[in-house]
Amino acid sequence: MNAKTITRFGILTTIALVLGYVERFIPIATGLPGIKLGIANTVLLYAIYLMDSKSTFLLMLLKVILSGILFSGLAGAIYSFAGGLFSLIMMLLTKRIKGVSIIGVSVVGAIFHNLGQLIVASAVVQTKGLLFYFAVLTLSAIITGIITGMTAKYVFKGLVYNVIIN
Amino acid sequence: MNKRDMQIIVLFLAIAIIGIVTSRTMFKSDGIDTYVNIYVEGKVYKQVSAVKSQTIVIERNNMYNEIKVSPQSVMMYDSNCDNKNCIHQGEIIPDSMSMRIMDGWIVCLPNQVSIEVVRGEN
Repeated sequence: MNAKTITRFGILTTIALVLGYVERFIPIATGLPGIKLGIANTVLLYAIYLMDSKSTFLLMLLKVILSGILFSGLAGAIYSFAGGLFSLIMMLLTKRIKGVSIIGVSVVGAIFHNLGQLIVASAVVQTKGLLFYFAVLTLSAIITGIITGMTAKYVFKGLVYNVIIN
Repeated sequence: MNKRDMQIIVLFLAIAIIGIVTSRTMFKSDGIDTYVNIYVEGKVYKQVSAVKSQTIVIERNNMYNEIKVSPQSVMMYDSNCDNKNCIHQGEIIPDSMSMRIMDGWIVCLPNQVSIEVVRGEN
């Protein structure tokens, strides 16, 4: 790993952590676990589109471990890991489908992030309540996934433009 | 957003709608009187009738949950969990609980306690 790679990972991990933290203060659905903007996912989308899948996994792991230590604790880290792993695998697979743009990948990522977390939650909650909540979370993930995907799309446009010009 | 994205979105939208309809029609418990199921760590801990008012305290391994049950409403009154999501989920009013996002459920994930209100026919 050279200095440039280390710097890049450092910056991306920081952005993901800060976005994940700031998001806690945007109350779109207080008290409802799993309903959130998911804007930190833009960093993973960046890695999926502009880096390789190994780096993407590493970034996800770094984010889960660090945000567990800093904010959410071990129990929270288990939920984020399950969600992160599920969503990452599904995003990488969706990206391979011809004609799918970053918005479709983002929506799939959001939906499967919830599914991964629900699988962990199934140890706590009764199954008949879970199906209903999965449906509610899927509706919310479609909306937030589109917002996150669009954000990523325009941020990347700006990034690529500036890198080429400067 | 292109055509493939729309197809993916419509597919999951359909899954969500089917999920909501199925869970609301098929997985619904029913009873003559309104009652409350309390689950701890995924297993039934207690079933109480909502006809009379009562407070249920669940205390174990430094985990504390206090549930208030009355004929008008059911709520997580107190909890020592770190995110307090269960308290923010508010009260369940059996007569209008189908309008609630979480339906008849209050869930405290950190303390592994969940409450299910089953609305009676009366």
